[in-house]
Amino acid sequence: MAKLIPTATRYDRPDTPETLQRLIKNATGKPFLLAGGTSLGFSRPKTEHIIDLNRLPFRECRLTALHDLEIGALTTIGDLERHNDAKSFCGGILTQATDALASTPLRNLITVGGNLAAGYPWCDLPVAFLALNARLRCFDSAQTDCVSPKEISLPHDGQTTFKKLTENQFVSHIVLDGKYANARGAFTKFSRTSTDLAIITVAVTFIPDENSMRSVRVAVGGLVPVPQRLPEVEMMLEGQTFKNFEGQTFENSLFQEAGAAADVILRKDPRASDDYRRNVLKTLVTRTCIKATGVMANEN
Amino acid sequence: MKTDSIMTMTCEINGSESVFHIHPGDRLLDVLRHAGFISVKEGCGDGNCGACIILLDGRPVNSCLVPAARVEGCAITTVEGIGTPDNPHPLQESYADHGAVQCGFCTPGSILSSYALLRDNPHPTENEIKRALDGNACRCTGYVKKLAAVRGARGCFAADGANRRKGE
Repeated sequence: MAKLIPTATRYDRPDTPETLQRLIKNATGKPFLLAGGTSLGFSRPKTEHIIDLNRLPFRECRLTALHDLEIGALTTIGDLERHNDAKSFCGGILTQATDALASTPLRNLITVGGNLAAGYPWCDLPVAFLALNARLRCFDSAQTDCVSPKEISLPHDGQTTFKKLTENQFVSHIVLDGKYANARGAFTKFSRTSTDLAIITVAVTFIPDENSMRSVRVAVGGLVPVPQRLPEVEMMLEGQTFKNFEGQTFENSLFQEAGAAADVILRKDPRASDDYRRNVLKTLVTRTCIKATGVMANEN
Repeated sequence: MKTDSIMTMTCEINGSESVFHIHPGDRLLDVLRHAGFISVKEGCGDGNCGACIILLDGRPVNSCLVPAARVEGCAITTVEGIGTPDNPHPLQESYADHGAVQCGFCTPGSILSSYALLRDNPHPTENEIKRALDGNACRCTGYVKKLAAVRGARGCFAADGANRRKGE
């Protein structure tokens, strides 16, 4: 019979973080940590030891009293897209992101934490999380006590990779900032087909204050090694009014200018040239801003 | 926990408890086929084509990407579990009635994706049907007849989720 991990001789299913920590501490060699497991389709890790994370109690998704949305790291993308609180959070930005992610059977396997921690440039959800000012609740694999897991903000300078973050820290929950629960947000993915890996992803959020945009966050992924924010674009939009903005048009100079300011240092991608991706990025930033403001524009 | 290279895995397949002796790295796809559930097909082997789709605790997943050891204690449904040649499920009848089957290789996976959709959403829209089948590649019949087959089977589950056979 074919094997997903031919070298594996041991399989553990810890059901508490403490057991997981103990297993990792006592492991000989580097164990493979299994969450959704969909990366096994293109990577065949050479490990003797599989640690299946799926029995850990990190599957719940709930709104807190502060309107933060706590998403258990082992929640599948499918469960997230069916969750009512996630559907309505920040103008439905999470639904737009999960809609864009892989196919139905894969969404039932891929976990939110895996999509974040895998660190692949094309992962969609981290871009939305960055725009939602997400915090990661982590526990340290080097410690034996995880009663008080730490919360850390997502890195946004493009220098710290998500992968590096998880080398010795395990994410138990992704906590989305309640400040954005009733904010405006939009997510756009550009790829060759609906189930292809992202070439470019853009997420935009802002808090409507009267007719102004406050706390604007613009994040991009796909064409950069790790998702990153676009501070120049955010500064350009911060505090701007959108009262007279007529949605669904590309003639609005504010968003045209914001798109034109979007620039990043690109990673290599054989599917599209650098020039092409730079041009598409500008258009996508403009479109995603329009999409985020669209409902608000109609309300005005 | 198991420290040698053979482990025992127990799960429920099509309503019956099954016990397997497996290696930690075995794929669920192979274990199921080896046990006689040959409706589960291997296509691409990397989660793209959907020929190996099964229902894991009621949700369609690609069994080529699932380590068999992972499904300990889970419920699995294959096409063998939803209908037989003598007593097909209304959805299977609809696939046949609409000519949505040609070589048949992708059919079990497509039927299970459709089954999960109609069970949770008895009257899906066209877009919801397309989305439910987005993980099922077909290289001969195409998709138009499959969409028609699912449309034709709308309402085949009663409100309580039970199957509604023809004439009921």
